[in-house]
Amino acid sequence: MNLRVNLIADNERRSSSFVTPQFFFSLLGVLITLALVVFFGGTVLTNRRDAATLQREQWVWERAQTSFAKANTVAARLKVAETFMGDIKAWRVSCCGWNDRMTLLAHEIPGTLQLIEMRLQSPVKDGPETPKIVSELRLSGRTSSPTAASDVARLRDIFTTTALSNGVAKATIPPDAFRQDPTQQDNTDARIFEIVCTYLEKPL
Amino acid sequence: MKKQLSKKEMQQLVVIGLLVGVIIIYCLWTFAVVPMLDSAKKRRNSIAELQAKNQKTQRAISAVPKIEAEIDEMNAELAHIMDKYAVRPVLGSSYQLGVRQKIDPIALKAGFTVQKITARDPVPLPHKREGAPLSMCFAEVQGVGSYSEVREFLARLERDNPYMRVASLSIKANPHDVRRHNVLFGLECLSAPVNPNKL
Repeated sequence: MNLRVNLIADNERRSSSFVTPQFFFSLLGVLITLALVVFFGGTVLTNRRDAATLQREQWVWERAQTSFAKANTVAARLKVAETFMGDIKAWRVSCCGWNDRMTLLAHEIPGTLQLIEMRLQSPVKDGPETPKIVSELRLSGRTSSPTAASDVARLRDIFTTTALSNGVAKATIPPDAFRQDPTQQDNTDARIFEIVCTYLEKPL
Repeated sequence: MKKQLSKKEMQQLVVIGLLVGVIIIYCLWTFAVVPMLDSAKKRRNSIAELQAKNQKTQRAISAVPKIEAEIDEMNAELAHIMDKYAVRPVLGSSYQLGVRQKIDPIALKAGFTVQKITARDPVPLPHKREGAPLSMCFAEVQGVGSYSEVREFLARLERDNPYMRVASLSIKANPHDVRRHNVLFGLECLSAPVNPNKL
């Protein structure tokens, strides 16, 4: 007969495992506490550093205020000056060109036509946005050529087909502008004419 | 002797422990971590904004000498234009004589005969700009000349003074002299204001 004597009570029993639940939970608790300390400590340190950076940047900003105001004033002056210079250059560009046109016109005008008046208007008109130069050239003349109609049409067409067409919006013979010369009623070939040439608007 | 916990009691203890743990973590997260992260984020944003502003400011400040040099250059160019091309009031504030000083030599070289010059008081140039550094005076030049003389006058005018603009031109046949036409120029001349402004 075998006799087994158990001298250890149930509550006195211990596990032989190295990692006991007690050890595991203690370690977990320590690790969590450590993580919290590291996290809060890190956050506090970062906040302190950020606060110091913010203070330094604010100091730099306040210190630069006077110089920055001066820089802004100078930049605004430059902007105004550039606009003025741009406008003056645009003015200069708008000034030239009529001499060349007159030279070309003298070469292109048909020999059968005699100009009695040349009128150029090139005023600056204020528009809602920028001022514009609106130019118009009006030629008046007379002819007694039998081919007057085609000659006048040819003169009109030089403003659309030759180098004179540069910048031209349209060239027209106004209604009733090509008609019998009232000063020479007895000469049925005597005609007077008018040609109006309108140029493209030039912004100033 | 310590009382041995039954299995059920152990489970209840674990559940209560877990619940308490979750509540503690939630409270920490809501009332400590989130506000701290928010405030840190706001502060970092403020720093970034301020740093960008400061960089912009520094760039603007360091550009000042260059801008001032550019303005000086423009003022020098303007002074050159004014000296060389602008009509100046002569004898007090008469622009009439000033225009004549500019027109007569050109007309003489071109063979164009000037009969009359009328100059109006200047207006600011660029157009309708308060504080404009220049002004523009309108002059009517009446004269006689052949077509080629008028052309030559115009060519010299455009070449010698590129800031004088032909606003109107009328060439009319002269019944008394078929070779010399009646001419009327409307000229817009760059002029120096009585009290010139700097740019």
